[in-house]
Amino acid sequence: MRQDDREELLGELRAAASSAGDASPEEVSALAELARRIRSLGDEPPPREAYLRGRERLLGYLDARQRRPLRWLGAALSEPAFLRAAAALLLASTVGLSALLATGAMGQEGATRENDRSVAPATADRSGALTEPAPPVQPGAPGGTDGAVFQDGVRAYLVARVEEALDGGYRIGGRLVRTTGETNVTGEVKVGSLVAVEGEVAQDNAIVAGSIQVQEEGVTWVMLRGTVEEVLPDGLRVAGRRVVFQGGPQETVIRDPRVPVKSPPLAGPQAVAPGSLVTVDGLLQPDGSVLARGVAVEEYGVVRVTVMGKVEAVVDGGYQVAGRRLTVGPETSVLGDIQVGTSVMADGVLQEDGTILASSIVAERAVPPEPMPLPEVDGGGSSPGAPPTTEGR
Amino acid sequence: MMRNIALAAPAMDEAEVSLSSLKAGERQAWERCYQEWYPKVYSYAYRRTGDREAAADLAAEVFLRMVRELDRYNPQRLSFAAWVFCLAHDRTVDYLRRKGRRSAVSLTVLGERGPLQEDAAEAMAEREALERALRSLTEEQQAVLLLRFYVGLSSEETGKALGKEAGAVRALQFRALRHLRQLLTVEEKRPQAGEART
Repeated sequence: MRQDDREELLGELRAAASSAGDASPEEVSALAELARRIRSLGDEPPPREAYLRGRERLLGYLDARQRRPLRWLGAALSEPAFLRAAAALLLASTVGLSALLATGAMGQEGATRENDRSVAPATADRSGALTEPAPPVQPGAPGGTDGAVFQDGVRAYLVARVEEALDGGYRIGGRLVRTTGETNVTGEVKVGSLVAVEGEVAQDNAIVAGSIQVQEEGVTWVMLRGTVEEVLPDGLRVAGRRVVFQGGPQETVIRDPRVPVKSPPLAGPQAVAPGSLVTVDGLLQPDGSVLARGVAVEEYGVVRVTVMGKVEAVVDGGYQVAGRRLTVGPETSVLGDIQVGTSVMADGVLQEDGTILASSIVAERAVPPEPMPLPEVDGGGSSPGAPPTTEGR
Repeated sequence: MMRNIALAAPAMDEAEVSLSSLKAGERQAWERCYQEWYPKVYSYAYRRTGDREAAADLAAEVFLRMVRELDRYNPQRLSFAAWVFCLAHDRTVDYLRRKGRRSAVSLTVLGERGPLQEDAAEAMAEREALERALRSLTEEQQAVLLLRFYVGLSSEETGKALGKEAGAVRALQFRALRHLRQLLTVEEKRPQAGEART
């Protein structure tokens, strides 16, 4: 039994008063009365919008957890869809979006991985579980995130350290890179520099560089692949990790693979629904978050919608609510007695045909929550609230 | 007769919601849990922060943490209510620290009410005075009074939420109630002084 009784409280207060040495019985009684007044304050009704928003976050989060475990790049290297996205991200983040648009890499098949040193943090587990935030991995370190080369047809995208300066080029990440008068070099290329190279593969397998861009030192470049669990005001939560958009979402590329590659690629974070599978590249921050440079949407996730209104009709396989067709499936949970005219709140997954496959349909009386009934102060017995399975302490 | 002084936190129907359902991630179980507990968590956060938007965000975050940490929850050690409000308290304290200031709420907003019956108006005024006085307490005093009396946790559970021994909670609760009473006494004198001037 979790409830205190008044006598118990009085006893506590008397004991404390005795320790304090200066409280009269009247004061103790007055303090007990004050405690009763606090207890009778009751709940502050939450704003309806906030209530619904929180509910949506919770349900979206539950769905996301059930759909995909935490994954990092290392868990996904064998997946061709990922490789395509990664190649595009490498390009987008290192040689610029314009090059991406020019090559159309995101939309093309056939990107291959030539060098698996692109494996992201060494702690990444192929099973997909990463229980602790990855420690910072310095560029060039074993298992670090540089040294990746992605080849898409004759085009290659390489991020690696300069190992040797050669006549007419460099050895970068074990690969011969040739420069020409056309090569656009950004920054001072030295032995040891971390660079991003974009170019074409010659017959001898060297890369003829179209551009070489020196990367910032002392940063940890990571790629994170996982399910969007939450859309935050300044970014996303992906696979349990916070992804922050630098300078706001408008500066971060969010790409939907269903959109033709030459269409405007920018979209706000709201375009990514919880449940989407995304690959993020960016800088690992000291707090474990990722400062995103690019976000590629690999699978457009579940778009959850909430519908509130009266049931207008009972239709085959569901209901018509507020002009929207709700389909009831075997997984749909229905709370309350729902008939034509009943006000309901439903949430579900938007289908391609515009209908909603309902996850739940709840009779309106429960939303927003009514203030919790307060037990009588002098009454006995009601339990203060643990679920029954948890009552024992 | 035994008199209850602890506020009952929401009870969940065993037949419908069980810990195992929550752990299994069953949507219906979580929906019910949310319906039952969100208002309380929100109210607690609102009373601590004085900010409705922040309270709504904090309450929502508490539920995400509940999902993440439910596997670590041990019902033998802590009631569900205590566990929920440990999380709520932690998040609220984090928020207040980040915010770097004490909670503040517009007193004028609290005072904006339509015409009320005299009794209702008086009850409302008393309630508002109590809420104002509560917000004037130290953060630790606010926490102990709200967790003990508004949420209905025991001294031991409140201690676990605050990282204190039960004895320390009882002493803190006494001092907090005493401080609250002093504040209310001052509050009650204010209108009288105003009336005297007019």
